[in-house]
Amino acid sequence: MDYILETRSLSKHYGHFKALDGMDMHVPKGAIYGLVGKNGAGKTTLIRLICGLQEPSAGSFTLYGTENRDKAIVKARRRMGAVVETPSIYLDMTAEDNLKMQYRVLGLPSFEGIGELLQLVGLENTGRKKARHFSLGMKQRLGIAVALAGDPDFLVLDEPVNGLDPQGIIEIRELILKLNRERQISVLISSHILDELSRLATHYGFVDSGRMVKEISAEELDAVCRKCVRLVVSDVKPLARVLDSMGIEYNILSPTQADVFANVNLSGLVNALTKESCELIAAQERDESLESYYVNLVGGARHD
Amino acid sequence: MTKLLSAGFYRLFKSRVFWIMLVICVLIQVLVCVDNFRFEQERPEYTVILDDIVFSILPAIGFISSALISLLLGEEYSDGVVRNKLTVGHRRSHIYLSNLIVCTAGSFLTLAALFLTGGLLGFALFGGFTYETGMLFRLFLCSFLLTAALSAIDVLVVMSCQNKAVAAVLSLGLVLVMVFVGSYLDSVLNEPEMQYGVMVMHENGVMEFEDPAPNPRYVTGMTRTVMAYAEDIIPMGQALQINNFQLDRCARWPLLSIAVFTAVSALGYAIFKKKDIK
Repeated sequence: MDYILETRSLSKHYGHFKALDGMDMHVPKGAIYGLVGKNGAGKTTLIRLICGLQEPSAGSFTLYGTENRDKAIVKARRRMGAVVETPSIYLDMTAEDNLKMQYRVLGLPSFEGIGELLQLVGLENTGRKKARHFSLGMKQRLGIAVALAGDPDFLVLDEPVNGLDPQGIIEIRELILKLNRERQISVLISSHILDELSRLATHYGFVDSGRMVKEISAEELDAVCRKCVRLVVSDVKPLARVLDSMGIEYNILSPTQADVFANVNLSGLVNALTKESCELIAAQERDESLESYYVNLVGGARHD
Repeated sequence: MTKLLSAGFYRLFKSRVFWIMLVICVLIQVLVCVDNFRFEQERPEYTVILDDIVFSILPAIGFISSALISLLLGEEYSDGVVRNKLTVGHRRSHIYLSNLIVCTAGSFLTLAALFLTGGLLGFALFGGFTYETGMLFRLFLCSFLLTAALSAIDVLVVMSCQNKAVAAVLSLGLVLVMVFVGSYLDSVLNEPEMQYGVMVMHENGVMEFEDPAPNPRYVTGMTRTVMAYAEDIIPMGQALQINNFQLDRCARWPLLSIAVFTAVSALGYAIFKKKDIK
């Protein structure tokens, strides 16, 4: 598989604190890669290293096949755009002037395309309004427009929907999907909002304590997060014997609970359990979400 | 680096702060000229010369340059826009150098505004320069070079400090420290070698002038040499000497300013290179 970004044992220490601790990551070309992790997991630190804002303490990464220590990384970075934490915009300039600034930084020969870019992010009518008077959503969209100024094919977005209202979240989501589908831009997006990420990502990376816990594609995740029936019984051991005899896949959760991954004939099950002196107390259909998958993966308190 | 310079100068000329500073420079010199003209009218025994008008305001450039650079460059961090340059692959050396060049150019333009306003209005009110052309050229050269050294110091402070407000306070504070240290060194070095006109009263009540005696506060030898170099190395020390037309050591000022500019810029880049940008 073609990877646009690969990290190998990437580490970053701030004094004694390990923000990244041997991170291995693979972002496929053309993917919308969702980076999932709790606060302090290392998502933003990883993004800062990739964007060249900080140097790794150990390990390496390759961008378009170019290693970070190679001088040619400078050229490789020219193909990426990023919004790291907060949008990087001049607050005392208009949207158009901000883009003109970035065009100059990139050395683009003319300002052609600025109009289309503003239209793409929905800021074509801001006129002479300075960025400091923009709403948070407008600032985020201008930040994305600045990141897109160089026509990159890899976009890195660090929590782009933070602080946005529902309308703003939808607009950003639609924009990201449009960029991926119409311009084949690969996207690395970190987010806390798992529900939002589940509507976007084609691949996931679950991060905890500076390490990659699991990388999985959306298809694989769908297969894992399957429907099941959660049974509450008086004793799970007889249940296990009965399910084994029926050849049904299950997962024991506690001495009285188990998830069964099949359409179970409850009448037949109750009869079989009664013979084993076991009572069926409750049965509930469940659908594992990204949230529950994440919680199961990295641990943490359940709040059902 | 030409791309960064293009962006930097575009930013400079779009910046309200820069144009406000230019207007302030013009207004300051207009006020100085008007005030001196009124003084000359009221006290005809005194003659105001153009050289005084043009160079007397030079120490103000420290504060003007510091305010301009800390406000202009402080936004690189506070608005996070330095990240845009790093993300698209610009080297840190180019980013630092382009910022240094643009900020120095901005300071030069404000100094030029001071000189031009003072020169043109002052010429109309007080006539031409009294110093000969060679000396004038040296004074203008020294003024611009010390401004470059001040700009380098301001750029080091701002690029090392990710907080715009702290950077502004540190920059202005440094200028104040330089003014105080420069003034102190100037006052010590300007102590006369001999004390004249000291009147003493004898036991019989008769007062008479003492013979000239060595001034105990007059510094000599290595101490004097070191203090003189210190006053000349500090950009505001040079500015104060030009302001007072103490020009006996002006031959070495250009080299010292260039040395300060180079050393401070190298230190600033070394700090910026290692900095973890958030």
